Amino acid sequence: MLKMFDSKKIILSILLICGLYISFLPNSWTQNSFLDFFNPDKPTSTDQNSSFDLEAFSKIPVLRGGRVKPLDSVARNILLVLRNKRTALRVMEKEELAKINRLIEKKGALSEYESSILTNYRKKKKVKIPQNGIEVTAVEVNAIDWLSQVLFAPEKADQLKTFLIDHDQVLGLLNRKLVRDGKFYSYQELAPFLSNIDSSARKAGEVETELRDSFQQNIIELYRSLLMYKKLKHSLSPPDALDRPEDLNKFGVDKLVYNPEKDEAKSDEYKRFRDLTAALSQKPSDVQLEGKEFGKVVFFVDRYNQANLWTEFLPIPPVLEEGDGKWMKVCESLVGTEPLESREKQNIDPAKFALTIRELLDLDVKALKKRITYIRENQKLDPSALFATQYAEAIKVRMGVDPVILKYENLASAYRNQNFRDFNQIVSELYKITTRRAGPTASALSFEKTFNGFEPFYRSAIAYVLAFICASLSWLLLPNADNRRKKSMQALRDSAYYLTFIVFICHTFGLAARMWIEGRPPVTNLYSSALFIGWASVLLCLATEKYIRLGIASAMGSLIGFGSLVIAHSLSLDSSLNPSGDTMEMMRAVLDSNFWLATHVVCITIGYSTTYLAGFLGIAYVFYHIGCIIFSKPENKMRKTLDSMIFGITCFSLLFSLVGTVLGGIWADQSWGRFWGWDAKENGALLIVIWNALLLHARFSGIAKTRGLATIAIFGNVVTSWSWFGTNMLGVGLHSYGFMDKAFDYLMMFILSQMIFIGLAYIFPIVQVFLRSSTPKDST
Amino acid sequence: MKASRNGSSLGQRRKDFKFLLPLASIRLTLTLLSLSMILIFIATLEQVRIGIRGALAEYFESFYGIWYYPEKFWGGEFLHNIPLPIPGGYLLGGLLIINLTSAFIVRFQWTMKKVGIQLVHLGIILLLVGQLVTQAIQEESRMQINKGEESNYIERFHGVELALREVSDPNKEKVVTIPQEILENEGSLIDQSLPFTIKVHHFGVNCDFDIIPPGKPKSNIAKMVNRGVGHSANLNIIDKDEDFSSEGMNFGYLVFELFDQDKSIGNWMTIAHPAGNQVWSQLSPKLSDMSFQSIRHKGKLWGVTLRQKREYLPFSIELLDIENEYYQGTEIPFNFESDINLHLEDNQTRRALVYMNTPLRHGGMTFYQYQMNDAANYSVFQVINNPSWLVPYIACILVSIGMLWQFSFHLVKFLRKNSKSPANA
Repeated sequence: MLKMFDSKKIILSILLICGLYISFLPNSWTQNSFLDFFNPDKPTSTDQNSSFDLEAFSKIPVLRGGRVKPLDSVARNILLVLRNKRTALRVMEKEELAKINRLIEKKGALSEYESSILTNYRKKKKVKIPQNGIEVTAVEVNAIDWLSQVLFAPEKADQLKTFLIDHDQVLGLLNRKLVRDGKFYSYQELAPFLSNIDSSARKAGEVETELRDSFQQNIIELYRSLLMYKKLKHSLSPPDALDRPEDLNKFGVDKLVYNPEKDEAKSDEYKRFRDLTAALSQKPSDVQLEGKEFGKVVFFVDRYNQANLWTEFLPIPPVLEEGDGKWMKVCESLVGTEPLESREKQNIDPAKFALTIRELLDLDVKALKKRITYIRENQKLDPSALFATQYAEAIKVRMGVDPVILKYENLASAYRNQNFRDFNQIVSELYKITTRRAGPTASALSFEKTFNGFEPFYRSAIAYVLAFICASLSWLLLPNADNRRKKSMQALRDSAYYLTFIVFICHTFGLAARMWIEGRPPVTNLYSSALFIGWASVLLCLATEKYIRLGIASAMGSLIGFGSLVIAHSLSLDSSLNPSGDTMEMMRAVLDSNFWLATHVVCITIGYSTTYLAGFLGIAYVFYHIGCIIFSKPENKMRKTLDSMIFGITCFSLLFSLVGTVLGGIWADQSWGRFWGWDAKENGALLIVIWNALLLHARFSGIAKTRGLATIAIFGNVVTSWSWFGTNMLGVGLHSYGFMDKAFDYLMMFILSQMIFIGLAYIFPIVQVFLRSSTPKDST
Repeated sequence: MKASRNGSSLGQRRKDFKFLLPLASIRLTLTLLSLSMILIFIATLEQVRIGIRGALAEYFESFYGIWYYPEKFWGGEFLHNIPLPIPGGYLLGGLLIINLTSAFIVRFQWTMKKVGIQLVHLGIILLLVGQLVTQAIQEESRMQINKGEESNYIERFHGVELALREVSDPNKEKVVTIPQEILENEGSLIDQSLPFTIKVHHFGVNCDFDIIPPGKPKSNIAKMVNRGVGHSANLNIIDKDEDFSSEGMNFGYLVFELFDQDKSIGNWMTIAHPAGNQVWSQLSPKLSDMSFQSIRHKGKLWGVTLRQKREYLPFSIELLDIENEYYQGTEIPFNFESDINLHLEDNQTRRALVYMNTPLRHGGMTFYQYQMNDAANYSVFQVINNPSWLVPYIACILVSIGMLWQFSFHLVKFLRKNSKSPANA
């Protein structure tokens, strides 16, 4: 007896420790653990003088996709778009590999430097990839390391495998083969084919989105990826302009533009430009269209406007004194933004343009700013006045070169010179300046960075599998259970329950962290709806399992939890749903209502998750039913329990989907003026409501018994999947978030699998009857 | 005691309304629910082909619709040819209302245990009735205002009218409008207030139009036009079916002849722009007169135009300012907002802001921020007139109370049962 007690406890505690390890503690497949949240500013273990403090660098705030976020998020999100992973790959040179091998063989007598190389190498994840038909070893480069190379040493970054290309025809265009060359490519490898890619993508772009074939979609994706990479590269330092000497001479700016031989950095050019504008603002009379000095300004404004196009994020935080909270691109901080498209410049009336500029420059800075805002709001159709405002802004409003630009340039040169101490010094200064200027919008930077590295959903997905296995094992012990088996069965069920609970905490933490970073209710897009559906299902399962410890709710809950997290992950990879790679994107104006997001959207998603749960319990019943037939045992109490579980959960489901749908109607009435518009997504929600109502009525009337109930619930999975994804694939209606035909095949397979479950529920009993009627014959 | 009284009253009701029993059957409910699943699913699929308005007309606002299996789907070549009748929204909605009401009379009991369920069903009857009424009477219009200007009329999204204005007297304007239903009959029109007879030759709800070089062949419809813009701009038009899709533009057109007694004055053509006739002048200077084709007759100046059906309001709206903001560094809109002055009937003025999720309700109408053009400085409101807008709200309250009642009742029961024995099953 005592022995049994012990073994039960041992199983329980081992499994729970496993769960904790996967969900919260430091482990090898994630960068951060739960502990890191408690000391976000812990000094990095690396020596300040012997390596770059990329940890600190990754926390510097920038603005991308309308949201202030740490560079770490920028790096991860962009890599997610480019390579569908949060890392890049570096192919190891032969000599490098040989050197490492030598060190490994040498053992014992290693110098400190040598052992540090070895531990560094051992820490990194290695993969074997094909290249030119030969297998080579590549080490993973983490996101921030990759970003620092892209920004500061692009020639090194160009050699990293950054792009995922797995479409055979696209590879054919590059003269590559999947088997021989693998699916990961560096910018350098793609560079010779840029014009091919460009022209193919252009042609594909002429086809309507819905009609594009897979090659056209893939080539456009590759084109966008390359564009994003190029923009990222130039976000801190504009691309070198291809100046022709005769142009420079014509404008008389040959001495002013950046000269790589004499100048230390591009900011030297900015400073000279500033001197030029400062002189002009002192003498407004020099502002003439043919004037030499003004001509130079025109040259630079054009140049910087061009450079403004090449930027993936906004690095310069708002200037405190201006108080408008506007982040800026590097060149925007010098000349502002173009008020109209460049081609509108041909409609400028020269006389009016010159007059307006002079009139503007006569004002003092404060009045000038006001006047500029006024013109931009009230003379939208007058290109002469509008363009004049930009020149006036460049000459008189924008003053000096922003210190953040200078800091970034120093950082770049320290990086290139491998000057660790300077780099780390500047990073900490830059962090201070930028966070101070970003104000409260930058409050979650450290947290977000640690959250990125913690990867709660990745951890949860793995741990859910463990919980599912535990619960399933407990059923395998079910047939012919004696007392001993029953005990271990109970132990497994208990551990599955507690395990699910631990994972659930991790999952909850992930959701809550997203809510805190975004400042929004849990569901804001398709990605977060997947996270939330899993979460709500697991919550309900835990509640059920608390009272009915059968292992069924744990198993189904962890299965749905795992499935929804996998779905969420693949949604985050979908380029049409998530073009920027950031799953915490900004909300469109009409959706920008936390109240309705928190009520309507949450109710609807809970409705989805409960319908799924009922459906999966239905599947569990079908298996139980079949099991009973195979082992020719009568169905016992389990049948009644499952019956009432399906019923109870469908009640919940009807409550939430009906309330959610009705709330949606009220929101629609508030914002579009109709309670119900037969929009595809609305109809989908209505289908779920009707189907749940149908299940309840079928049970009340006694028309459907347990098996009927189970199959109705399983078909509920089909209805819900249609409503969740199918309606989006139609590409019509107000709720369509993007066309996702890639998911179509998966949806069809899921529907097919559900149909098979329904079929099994009815076929097996028939087979059984057939067998029974034939067995006696054989024996006689 | 109480329950038995309820029971006996139900028995009485059952006797009195015996004929309702088959109509109240739960099997009928299940059938109707299944059929409505099919209807909704197919009508959603069909939106891809014929748009929301098309699906509405064919399936939801009808007693039955005919569906053909899509050709593009698997096995479509053969299945496409079989017409399948699908029960329509009016049929199923009507039957569900009858089914529910009958159930109320002959099956439902008002006991503590059931009162929640009855409330939910009452709410659902109300929702269904409300939706039927809404689809029958709701009207959707638009109001476009330029910044700094004022407007006192709304235009229907669908439906046109012929407007004849006599403007000889600068202080007094006489307007005669002829609605679409009359134009559709394509006959001669005599109006006491008009000095001439109008003969409608061609009328259509949609067309393709094109300015063609002289000498090129024209359609039969356009050939006969010998006066007005259609003649001077050498317009060719081709009749087209109505476009039901949500972005569809329908250009209604009319070719008519004017008679003074029996003498023909000439043939005119006029086209209504779905975004309002003021747009014509932006399209081409040659077409700018489309909003007012002048006809001089017996010393009086008349202007004639086909326009979206208009309704004049007893109040007017002045657009003071518009705001159109995006999240920084993105193309994701953050805010659309119109800053307006509402000039009321009694000469009072009220300031208001209209933006996303915050419409303006006044005079039985609701004004929603619909479109906005930042460069051209105008704002468009969608105007909804739906006297039954409150019905779904009442229905929702009934349903919510009913559900809360029912679920708390069951939850309490469940928890009580389980708190006694939290044992493993």
